[in-house]
Amino acid sequence: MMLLLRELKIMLRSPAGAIQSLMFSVLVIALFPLAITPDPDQLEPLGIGLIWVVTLLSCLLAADKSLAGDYADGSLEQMVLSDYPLWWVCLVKSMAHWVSCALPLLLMAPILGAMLAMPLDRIVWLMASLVLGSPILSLFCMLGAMLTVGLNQSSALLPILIAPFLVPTLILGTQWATTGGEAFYGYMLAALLCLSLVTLPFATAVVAKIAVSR
Amino acid sequence: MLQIESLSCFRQDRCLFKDLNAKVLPGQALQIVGENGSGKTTLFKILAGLFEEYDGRVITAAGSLYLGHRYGVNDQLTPVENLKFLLKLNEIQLAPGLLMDALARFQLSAELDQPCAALSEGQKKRVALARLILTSARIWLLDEAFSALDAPGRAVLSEVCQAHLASGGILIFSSHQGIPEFAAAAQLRLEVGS
Amino acid sequence: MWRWFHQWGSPKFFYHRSGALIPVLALASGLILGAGVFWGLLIAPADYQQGESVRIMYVHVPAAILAQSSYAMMAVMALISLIWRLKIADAAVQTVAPIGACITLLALATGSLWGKPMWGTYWVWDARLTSTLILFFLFAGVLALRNAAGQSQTAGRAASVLAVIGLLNLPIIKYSVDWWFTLHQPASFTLTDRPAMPFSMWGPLLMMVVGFYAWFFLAWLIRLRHELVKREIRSDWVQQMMKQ
Repeated sequence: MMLLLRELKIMLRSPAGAIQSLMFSVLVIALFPLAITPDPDQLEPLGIGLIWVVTLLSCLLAADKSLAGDYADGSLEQMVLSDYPLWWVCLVKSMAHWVSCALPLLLMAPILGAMLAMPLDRIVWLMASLVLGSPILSLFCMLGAMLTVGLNQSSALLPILIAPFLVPTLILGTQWATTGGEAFYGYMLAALLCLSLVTLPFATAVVAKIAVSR
Repeated sequence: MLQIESLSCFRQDRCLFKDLNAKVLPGQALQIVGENGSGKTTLFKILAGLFEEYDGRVITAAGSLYLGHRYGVNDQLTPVENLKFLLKLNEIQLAPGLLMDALARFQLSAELDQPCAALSEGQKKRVALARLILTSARIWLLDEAFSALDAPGRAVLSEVCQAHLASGGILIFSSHQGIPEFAAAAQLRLEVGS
Repeated sequence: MWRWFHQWGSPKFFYHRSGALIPVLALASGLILGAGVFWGLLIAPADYQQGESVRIMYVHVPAAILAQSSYAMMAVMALISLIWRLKIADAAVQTVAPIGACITLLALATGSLWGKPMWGTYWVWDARLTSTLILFFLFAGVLALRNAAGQSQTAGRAASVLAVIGLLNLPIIKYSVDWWFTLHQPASFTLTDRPAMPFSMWGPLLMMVVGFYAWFFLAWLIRLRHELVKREIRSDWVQQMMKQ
């Protein structure tokens, strides 16, 4: 709890990162109609996929920053040495990443959806799929951040390492939303979320020990 | 007690040190001496348990506290918040008064409610060092803790360290400056490129 | 058993004993691949639907099989290096990654070439092609992390964790891509609903698969031995060998 409060405090005092990643997403969404067509009939079927891809990208791009500070000032070393279970630290970092990166996008989804001419019911399913899917993105992003923290060009490396792992989430999330909530995809997405929740923090903890010995 | 037995460490094919032996008893200090690149920081990381690729044995009979070149002070948080966090990492709960006293000892009373980004490098280091006053760890691993501090800061730090030794603690430290108070401490010398 | 494991885990023992395998593997892969190519490309019958272009299969299918199993082998080696900290396993991970990436690329390239006569286009978002593409990215990730993190053992351990997580994720990726594919396209162009292959076709195919494996182990062994000497350059046994 204390760890989570600290993360939120740090985030609120320097909101630039979260705002930038949100701005990035809105901007990218605004570019698509310019590049493709303003015609609502052609934009509407693309909406769910585009917003999902943009969410995925902005999560990937923000991931390395969420750990770089702790690595540079030595907090990460102290967290690894602390009496707290390391998996819990990693889980909290993932939650913080989710709050700073995915949550603002989730809240903006109705506006983004409107920009892409999506009807309300599709926006609702889109948001539902993001609620279930985006935590998986954050868990994987934290794993990637831990793998690359302290390396040269970690911000370029991280998406290469992690994007393939996000494919199932992307597929299940977009399918669930486009099929209007077909139960099978929803269950699978929920199962994937549970699986990621119970495994990835431990994997990230293993990597954290490697990261501090660099 | 802290004991090092035939400790060797290679990094990327380069031998940092070989067959180090040392034994530090409660109440004793040990200074790690060596030029830049001789492996001091790696040795500290090994002693702290952050670095595991070594041969030999390290025996520590008590909890340790490691302060390295990067000492864990976040720029967005105030000195009090930082100190609270660092202490809570080791599950130490304290009355707020004690926390203030520790910061006051390191002459930080005036800067308590501004983010550490506004502090100088030396002041940030003092925030991390204030932890020493409150910790229950018996082994202190201070890698270059005296650098970036001004003369009064160094004086406070050596007082705190001496009190720690007097109460039966163990101090392992490295320093490029001479610290007169610890001139008599045992030394462990690391050579470059052996 | 444990002693055997321990012996082969020693770079020196491995280097000296494995040398004898190289000519065997070289001969086997040369002969089997040569015979397989001859049988598959010249003797085996053309397909009644696809004509001569079916012969791409004799390269594509072995490459695709080998691509997946080489990732699995890499991940198993990575797991061994993480658990027992065997230096040789870490070297094995490092040396197999580029081979695996190349094989995967070969599978992709031949798959795309085969796609032209089959589907009329070089790239179709077919479930199998897509998973192979993702497999290639997984290999690329391990390679990229390894390159960025340098040669240290810590770098190796990070890459090993990535490889193991990749292996655990591979089935999830595969199934999700399959679901995605079946939702978007009715399965009309898969090989599975075709009549069983006659021996004149699966015979050479099997031979090519075996030949590919022999070649793969040969390449891996050569690279691994090379890497071991490089890593152990300061040790006594390498120094002794250099003198001779």
